[in-house]
Amino acid sequence: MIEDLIFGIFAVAALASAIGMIALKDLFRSALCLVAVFISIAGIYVMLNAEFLAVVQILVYVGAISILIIFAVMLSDDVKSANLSNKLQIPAMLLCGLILAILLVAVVSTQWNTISDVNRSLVDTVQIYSVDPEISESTEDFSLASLLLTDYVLAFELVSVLLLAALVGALSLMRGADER
Amino acid sequence: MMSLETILGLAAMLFVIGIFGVLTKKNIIAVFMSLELMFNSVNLTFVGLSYFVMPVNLVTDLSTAMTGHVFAIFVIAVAAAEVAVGLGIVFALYRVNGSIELSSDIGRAT
Repeated sequence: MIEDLIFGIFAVAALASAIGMIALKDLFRSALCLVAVFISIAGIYVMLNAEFLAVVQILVYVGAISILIIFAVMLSDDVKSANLSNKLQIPAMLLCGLILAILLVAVVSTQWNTISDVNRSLVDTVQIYSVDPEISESTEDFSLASLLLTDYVLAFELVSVLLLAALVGALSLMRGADER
Repeated sequence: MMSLETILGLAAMLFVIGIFGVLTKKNIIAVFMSLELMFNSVNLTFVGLSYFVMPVNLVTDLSTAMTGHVFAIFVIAVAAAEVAVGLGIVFALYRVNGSIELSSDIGRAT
């Protein structure tokens, strides 16, 4: 019961902040609304057994990405009325309504194979203890860290190369054409 | 109230709001913010499915319960890289163009 209430608060906060991000004219306030969306989604992660992802969400999105975005907001000439829309609003709204309807129909009409009550506690244990350092020393190793370095090691290495490439790319973009 | 359908519905609404922002915003920073919102809604979908949907081989391999979380971590890493390069492009555009508006008269300032 209390879980439903807290989830409802986070969900409504996320939706309201997202709509505020689109609707507000002040680009700076719109960026702050985006931060509110990030924090609400981190709260929902905590309720979905993903504490590690919630912390990563706060660190990466609220800590780093929003700072970068707010830094870039300062480039706008007139921040107070910078968040304007173009003339495509009505066609875009129709398209978005169509996409939302398709998605919701797909969600409702799919026969989801949800976790039965027998397996619920097992899945909860796995997901909560996946960041416990002692798990990786036990016989059944399901920790997130060793999963990243065994089953998903190719994707892990590719992501590190991607981050390095993004770093070099951003630096070379910042240097500008005249200094090259 | 916290069920798979509500989580997926919430993620779908956030995703559609993101699409609307990408299509209609004039300022490139606002387009970026809408993109971040879309990344977040996809992550929410991954984590919600990981929480509610039964993994196929759960009994033989417990780590299949973590697949959604691993995917969400990779999405966050790719989003961070995208923001770094994207904002680099924004700064380059600002230096060349003197403005970061996305409109038909782009390049007029040069």
